[in-house]
Amino acid sequence: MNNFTLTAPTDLPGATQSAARPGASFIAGGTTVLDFWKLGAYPMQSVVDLSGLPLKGIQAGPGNLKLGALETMNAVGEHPDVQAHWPVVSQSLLLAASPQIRNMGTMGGNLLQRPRSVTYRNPDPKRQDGPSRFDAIFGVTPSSRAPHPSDLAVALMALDASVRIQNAAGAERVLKLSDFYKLPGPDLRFDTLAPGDLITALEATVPFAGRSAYIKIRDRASYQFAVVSAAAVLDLDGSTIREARLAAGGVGTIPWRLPKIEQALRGQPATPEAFVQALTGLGDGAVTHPFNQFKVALLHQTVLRALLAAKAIA
Amino acid sequence: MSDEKAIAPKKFIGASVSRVDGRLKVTGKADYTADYNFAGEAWAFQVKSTIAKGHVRHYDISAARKAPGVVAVYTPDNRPKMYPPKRQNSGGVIVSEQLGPLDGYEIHYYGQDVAYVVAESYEQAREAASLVRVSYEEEQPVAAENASKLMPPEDVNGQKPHMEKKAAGVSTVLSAWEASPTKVDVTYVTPVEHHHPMEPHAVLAKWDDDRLTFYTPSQWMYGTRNFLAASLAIPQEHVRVISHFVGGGFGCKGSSWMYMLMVAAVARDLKRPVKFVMERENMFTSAGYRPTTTQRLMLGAGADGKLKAVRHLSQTAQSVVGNFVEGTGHASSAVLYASPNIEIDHQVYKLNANAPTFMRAPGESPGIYALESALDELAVELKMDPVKLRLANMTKYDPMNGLPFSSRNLEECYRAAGDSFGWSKRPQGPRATEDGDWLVGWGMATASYPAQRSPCQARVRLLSDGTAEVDCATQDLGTGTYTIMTQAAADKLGLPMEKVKARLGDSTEPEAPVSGGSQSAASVLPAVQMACDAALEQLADLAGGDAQSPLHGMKRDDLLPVDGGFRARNDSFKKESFIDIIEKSGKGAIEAVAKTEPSGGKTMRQEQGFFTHKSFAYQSFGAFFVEVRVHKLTCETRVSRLSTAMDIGQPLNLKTARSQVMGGATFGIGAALTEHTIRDEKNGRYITQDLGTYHVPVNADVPEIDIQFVGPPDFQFNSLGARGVGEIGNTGIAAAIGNAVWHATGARVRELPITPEKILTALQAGRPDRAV
Repeated sequence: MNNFTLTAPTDLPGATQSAARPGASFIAGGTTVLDFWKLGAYPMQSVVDLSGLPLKGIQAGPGNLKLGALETMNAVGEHPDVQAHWPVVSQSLLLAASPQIRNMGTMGGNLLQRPRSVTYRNPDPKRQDGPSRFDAIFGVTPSSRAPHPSDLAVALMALDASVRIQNAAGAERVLKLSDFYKLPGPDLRFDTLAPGDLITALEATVPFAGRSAYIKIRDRASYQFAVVSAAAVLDLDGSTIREARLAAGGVGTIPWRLPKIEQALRGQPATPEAFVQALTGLGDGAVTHPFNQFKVALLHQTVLRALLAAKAIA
Repeated sequence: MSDEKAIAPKKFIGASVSRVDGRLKVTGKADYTADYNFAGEAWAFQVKSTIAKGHVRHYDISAARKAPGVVAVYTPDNRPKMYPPKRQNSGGVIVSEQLGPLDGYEIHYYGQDVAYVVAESYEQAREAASLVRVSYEEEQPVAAENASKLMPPEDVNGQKPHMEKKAAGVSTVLSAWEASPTKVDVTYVTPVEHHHPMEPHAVLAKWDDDRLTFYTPSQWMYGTRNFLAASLAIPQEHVRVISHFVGGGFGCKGSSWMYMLMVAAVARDLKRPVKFVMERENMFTSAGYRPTTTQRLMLGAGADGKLKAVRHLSQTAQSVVGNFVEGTGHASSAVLYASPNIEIDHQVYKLNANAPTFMRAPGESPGIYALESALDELAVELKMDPVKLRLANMTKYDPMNGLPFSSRNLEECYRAAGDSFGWSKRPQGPRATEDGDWLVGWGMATASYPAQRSPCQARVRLLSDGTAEVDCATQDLGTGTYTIMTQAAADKLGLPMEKVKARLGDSTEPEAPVSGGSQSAASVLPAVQMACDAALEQLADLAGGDAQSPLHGMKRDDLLPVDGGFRARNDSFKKESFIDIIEKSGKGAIEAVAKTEPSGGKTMRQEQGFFTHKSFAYQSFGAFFVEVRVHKLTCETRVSRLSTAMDIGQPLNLKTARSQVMGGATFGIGAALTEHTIRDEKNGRYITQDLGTYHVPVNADVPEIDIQFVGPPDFQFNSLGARGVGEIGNTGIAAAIGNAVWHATGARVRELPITPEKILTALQAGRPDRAV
């Protein structure tokens, strides 16, 4: 049997030191880890239960966001301050998964959840994702073309958010999300965490985050990973775009920021025509095949819709 | 006793009655297969091939054998002796996949069983199964839908693959189509769909000497029994199949499957009970699916909309290890509309894939989707309302064989559902209605499914405490069989429903047919009624022959069964309770067994062995009217309104009949918009492996469904006037949704499911700015 030992530390040093051992894994909500462990695709000899750690707390004022790593998706998504000042975050959370999963899934774990793809689900390396409509078009590597599953990460990527991390030696560091993620290599890892590294909080500082939206496109109305999604944050000066932040989901092996489009929007009028103009070149660099080439066009429409939704906020 | 209907009105049949097993289900007391455990049981687990064609070069089972709790590892080297049938239909057995379990080293498809591991617990069996190492000599599989040679199947559910009728002087149906003033020539594709009932396949096999007790969720007690008996070389009476509750079947529990045989054989070999519950992932490869269909529809019509020619040319996938045919054109264009010239052609091609099987409305679901979509396109060409086009082509006779329909009220379905929906306000052209960012469209389609019934037996026992037991080896797939059996017996016997206990799902009970082809209610209830009549006959004889009875000298015809006893028809003060009659008889209980032989007894239509009277065509009809909303920019489709009217004869229970239609419509929403099993065209592996990638509709996808039943009881068909309602709800709906998507957007998507990208691609074809 694939047995494991379980420890339940009550302080951060206890947790990070336990997790620094080989074959150790943290568990918070368990909505990904247990699934993959049962499939044999997430071997772990020891499990460090985080539920006893003081990693809660939601601060969501205008301009400043700090989310404890153990806050659940529903707690954050439904928080009135998050809804008022950080709509893109709230929407990304409440459009994700099912109510049951949202009651278990946590902020830290959400960023690390693995794609539910053939490649990731199967311990047998010969079982790879075949070409399908699910495949990513950006950040595809020889190891993986599975799109990153998190909605929250897309919203946070657009917000240029940071991840607060504590390591086993007790040192703390703060990583931009763009440095937190890396393209998946042969070990399929897409994060830059070292053994024992623990996410303690997610943070963002964006004064104009109140004008933001998350749009998620999927076949059915609920409980599905994004076919394509987009997060848009707009800073308007009257009717002119002072700054725009954009990220996309369902298209990248990691959450995919769209800096060229952001650049093209800067200084432009906030009109549908200008949005469309700025989206020229959105598909540059996309790696497609006949089953997923639609993602360029659908992403175009989704980003446009996200921009229009953000703009519409009074 | 024909006047009894008039004198004693039906009380329960036709009413809205809650399920008699509802409380058991919501309190977790319904005994499903996996709920059973026997002392000493071991657990079996499948090991599956990871290639789609080739052969096994080597097994390494050493690690698995040494794993904790392992009892045995089976491979072709040590599999127990078995004699599985080699044909799909043979002597009371249906076997959609004819490859015996662990029958040799050749691999025919991805997910083929290559080993079974048996261990003390489920977890140990699962763990050890992951330790079985199999090395393969891999060959290139035939996995792409167009990679294999087309050929006509031996037959299409008992009919010839090619059928045609031509008007006098017409040389070919093609020439009649070519000569038609208005024509469409369109091709539709439907994907692989899996049943995925909530309850996975499961088995608990227990041997007592040479007798087998076999718990499994099955749609056919006797079929499963016969399959096991033949394959294990034991008498049929030595097998008892038990299936008190089935957590959904949709066809995948109708065929007998080889995992069943393997678990039974392993239990015999190990001399201990063996339990097996299938992994959700393995349900993609172990228990059938609906195969891919490609259907070319060539419709020709005059300016009045009357069809002059119908060509329905189908190509459907088969497995190299099965011969199930998804009979699309035969189940739709051959049945629905009048036309002087009709040509139905069916070709199949073989793939290295596990075998497809019956899935809710097999043939009708994809076939009617294609026909009803093509008719919508024809209506556009004709600039005619889609309902009017259909009304121009009504027929009282089966278009191919000319038999009159026993009861057909399709026009009333259009009227009732159309009125309820508000169809008359529909703008004719597409893209006419917007609501904010959403394009709104309306579509409609005809639904239809044949009415079928088979011989059936039932037993009724009236007990000395005044209660009755009704036994029949039929199945309740969650559809309400327990309830309608109870209703029928209670009505006949004049008992309240609480005094009647229906028992089913046990092959030691009297024989019933497979719960397939929507035939169970129509087959079982007449048998229940007959058995009740026979029991009442006995009771009447006892009372009439009893000098002490107030009913002395009376015959059955003089008596009415009411309030738990007989009452004299012409003197309501003369009565005697069944309790008294039985007690005085000294018999302890009155028992009667009846067997129905549908009148005429000759086969008209053969499908899974059904038969009905051959002087009529028996068919149910219905109509779906649907409103969809499609997002202007991103093209997700949501169904916002849905009205339907169904002509199914007498609904036996308004509540469960409505639930059947509701479930069928939900199934249809899935087929239209979300459900698609993706197979890798190169290596033949499934890419969708779980319910996270195989998308069935969720509650948020299904609006309130407005359901009406229209039309009179169909007493030509059976004594209740009731035609089955299990599958018709899953026909037509996908076409109605596709037609509504066209009406909303102007985009005609001809491949299911209609996902956002297909609408977007159709809209942007040649006009990248179109959906902006």
